This record gives sequence, structure tokens and C-alpha cells, in this order.
Amino acid sequence: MEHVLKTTGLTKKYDRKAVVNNISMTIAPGDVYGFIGRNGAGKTTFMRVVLGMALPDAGEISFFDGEPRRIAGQKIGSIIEAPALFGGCTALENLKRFSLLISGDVPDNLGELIELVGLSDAGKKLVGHYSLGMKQRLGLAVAMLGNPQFMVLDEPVNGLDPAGIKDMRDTINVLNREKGVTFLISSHLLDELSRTVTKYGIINDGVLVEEISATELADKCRQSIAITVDDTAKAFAVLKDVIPADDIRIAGMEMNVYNHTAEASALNALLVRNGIAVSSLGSAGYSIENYFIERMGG
Amino acid sequence: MRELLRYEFHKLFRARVLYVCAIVLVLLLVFFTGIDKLTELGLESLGVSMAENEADPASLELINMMGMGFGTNSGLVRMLTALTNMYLPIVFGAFIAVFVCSDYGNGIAKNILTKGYSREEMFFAKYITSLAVSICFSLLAFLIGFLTGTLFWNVGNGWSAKVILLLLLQLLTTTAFNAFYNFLASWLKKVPGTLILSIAIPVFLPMILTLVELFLSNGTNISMYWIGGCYVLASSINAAAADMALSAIISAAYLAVFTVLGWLLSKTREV
Repeated sequence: MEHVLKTTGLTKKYDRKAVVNNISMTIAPGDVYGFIGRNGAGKTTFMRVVLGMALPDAGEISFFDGEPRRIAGQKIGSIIEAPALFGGCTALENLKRFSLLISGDVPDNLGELIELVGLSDAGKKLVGHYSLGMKQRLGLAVAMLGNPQFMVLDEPVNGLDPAGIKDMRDTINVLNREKGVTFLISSHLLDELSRTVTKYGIINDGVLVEEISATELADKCRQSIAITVDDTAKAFAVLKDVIPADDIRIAGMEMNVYNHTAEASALNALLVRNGIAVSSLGSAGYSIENYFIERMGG
Repeated sequence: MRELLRYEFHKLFRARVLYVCAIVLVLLLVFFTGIDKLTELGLESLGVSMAENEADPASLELINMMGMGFGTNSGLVRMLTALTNMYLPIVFGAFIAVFVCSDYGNGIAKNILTKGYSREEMFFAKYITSLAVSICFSLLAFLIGFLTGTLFWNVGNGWSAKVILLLLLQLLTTTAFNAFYNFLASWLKKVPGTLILSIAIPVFLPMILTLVELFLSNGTNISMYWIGGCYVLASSINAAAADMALSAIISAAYLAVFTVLGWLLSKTREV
């Protein structure tokens, strides 16, 4: 399978303003795709359009290499905005009702699902009396019904306490790594996302500004010493005698030295002693936060 | 679609609103039947004869003013006139407003669409479920009307195949009301707004049409062209064939128009 979700030129307008503006993106099987953007950037609207809650003004949406929507829908689970639940029913009755939507039957393992999301103690309490965190957990259980292959989660840790956030993260990681479930997750918590996500999509004013893998991002955000010299080959030969060669990257006349930011002055002195002219030396690299803020127009 | 219908019917039998509306419907019928019987007993205690060939002119005028007439009460009559009470279609509307709109109000409709069901499938699943309930409520009204009429008066005369036809015509009118209420629900998607219009329109529109009739010099009975008027046209064992045909045509027209309007609205509304 080449893609779990593919959008081409997806556009959605409200009052003639494009809230989702010509977004083309692909989520491969096994990805945990993190959607990052400011409030009002279009993350939730994008998810709503993809899942059919809002009708697009232009563009195409394809699931699972072009499977019919009705069949693809059975493999998708979601939490969009607040979890949609029957307030006058128990957790078990909620899961029964949603099971009927998926397969027309009620499976036997609903109790296990309730236990998995940490709601065993809820008993016969009606969902209308649940806390926000409990509703979020039940929403996740509903999204997991029918063993979906793709889950779309909009701010999934909203309202959860630290233990709940960890549980949610662990559940996502287990589903992704052990069952190969693909995720599209939006969140404001960069630190939380960074522990789970394999690929980021940065959205600003409805436009997909950048897509970057977690590996590439980590690389860009590593702190380093940026040194501009007149002879990079000679400088490399000098430096690799004192630091691992893997810590040195050369791009044109600039070198980046990683993992030795505390030794900047010593490295500078070494280069000068060996006759290498150093025209500039300074620190480089973003924090993840600054990287995203810059691209989100902040 | 089959799974969606199973879901709707599973939800239906666990919906408190179903049983509350059924009880209200029964109570309304028993109440109004009881009121009529008590009024009759009251008149008789004042010396007013309810037999046509015995009443004096003043009594006749009083009885006509009260809309009671002669020999108008029996199990058969109450069965045929059960749905002509303007409050009964409101019970259908209240049920549909709560049952259909609740999925939109609490966001459940989002989950339905996520699973790949189309907006049309969602609309028609709710339409079919509410139609089943509306027809059952109508049959219940016929039954309660017959039982209370028989209890308070007698079984009635004039039983024939025409009775079946009249009841079927009224069921057709029920389907038109169902389409109308589903259109309101599809348009507004909120329980309070839909509930208010479901009550206000059937109550006030006939009154407005009746007022308009007063200003029409040609004596046109335009209030008969509202859906509720179709029940009246098919509520008498002596109903003329032309009236029965008119009831069928008007009901079918409302059924078609509101079904199509509701379907078209459902295709474009966001959830």
C-alpha cells in the first residue's frame, strides 16, 4: 500500500476565505503524522474535510490507495474536537451502539477495550457525568472499535492529567509499532508530539508550509558550532584528530561541529595554530519550538 | 445502510422519548374523549337531549356550537377522528425533533460520517426509523380511539371496507407529516428550534389559514390544504370520494416535496 491518506489540492472556504488552502499531502502506512499550527491555522478543518464532516470546495481525497469511501471508513477511527458520545448511556452502551455502526454486531471484547483505556472503575456511571479526561478516554475507545488501520486524533490529550497523557502516548505507540496503525494527530504540545511522531506537517493560515520527518527535524534542531574557514578539507583533517569525524559536517565553506559546543574556543585555537583562517565562528541550530514558531508565522 | 438502520433501531428502543411520546399520545386521546363524554353527560343533566329528533332549537344551537352534533360518538367515529386532533401530530413532531436532532447536537453524526456513510444514508436511516414510529403512533391512536369510543359509547355503525381505506389515507397523511418533520430536523439540526417549529407550525398555520379564509370572498376552504386538513377529509364514514381523493393527492404532494427538500438539505449541510 502506498498511502493511507492522500489529498490533492484540498481546499475549503468559509465566507470566501480559504481555511484549508490547496493542501496536497500523503500519509504513508505506519506513519505517525503530527499536524502543527497555531489556533485557527486550519488543522481541525482539514481533518473535518478529510473525514467527510465538511464538504471540500476543491481537491481530492483518497484513502488506502483509492478504496471506496464506505469500505475505507470501516478502517478509520477518529476523535475530532470533543469526543462524540451518548451522555445518557454507560461506556459499555456507547461502545455497543458504535459497534453496530461498524459491523452491525456487538463484539465480545468491549469490556477489554474499556479496561485498556482505563475506564474499568466507571461502572454504570452515565457518560454525561464523566470528567473531560474520562470522555477523552472513552472517545479513544470508540475510535479503536473495529481495529482501525488509520486513526485521526484532534488534540487527543486535551483534558488529560499527566498519567493520562502518558497512557495516551503509550497506546498510540503500541498501536503504531505493534499493530501498524497509522496516525494523523494534531496537537499544540510539541514536546508530547515529538515523543510519538514520525513526520510533521506545519500548517499556517490554511497552507501546508512544510513537511519534515522527525529525523530531519532532529537534525536541523541539533545545536552545533558553525565555522567558516578558507580550507574545509584541511580543517576537517585537523579536527578529526581530536573529535569523531561523524560529529563534523561540511557544506561549502562552512563546517558544523556537533556535540562539542562547549569546546568552541579550543577548536578555534586548534584551527588557527594549524594555519587555517577562521572567518567566522558561532552557535547554530534551533530549538524545536523556535523552528515551528518561525514556520507558523510567529 | 443495513448497519445504520440496526444502529437507529437499537437506539430507538432505548430512547426514553419514544415511550414518553407514546404515553402522552394515549393520555391526550383518553383526556379529550373523556372531556367530550363529560360534556355530553353535563348537557343531558341540564335536560338537553342528545337525540336529534327530541332536541329543541336552543339545545340544537348549543350542541352545534360545542361541535358535538348528534350520534357522532362511537368506537368507529373516535377511531376515524383520532388524528384530527391537532395535538396528535405534534406528538410525532416532538418525537422526531428529539430523536433525529440529538445525533447532530451531541456530535454523533460526525462518527457516522467518519465510518463512510453518506449524508443521504444518514438522512434516510433516520427518516425510515421515524416513519416506522409515526405509523405505529397512528395505529396506536386508532386503537385507543376505538377502545375509548366503544367504552364510553358503543362500537358504532357503518363498518365496511371504506373504513380500511379511510385509515390507509390517514396513514398516508402521517407519512407526509413524517416527511415534514424530518425536513425541519434536517434544516435546523437543533432539538430546541426543531421542537418549537414542530409545535408552532401545526398549531398556528391552520389558524392563520382559517383567518385568511374569512377575508376570501369566494369561500375557499384553504385550511383543508394543510397536511392536517387531510386527516379531516378522510375522517368520516360518509366522506365523499372527491374529498378522499383530495386527501390522497395533497398528502402525496407534501410527502414528495418535503422528502426531496429534506434529502437535498441533508446533502449539503455541514455536521
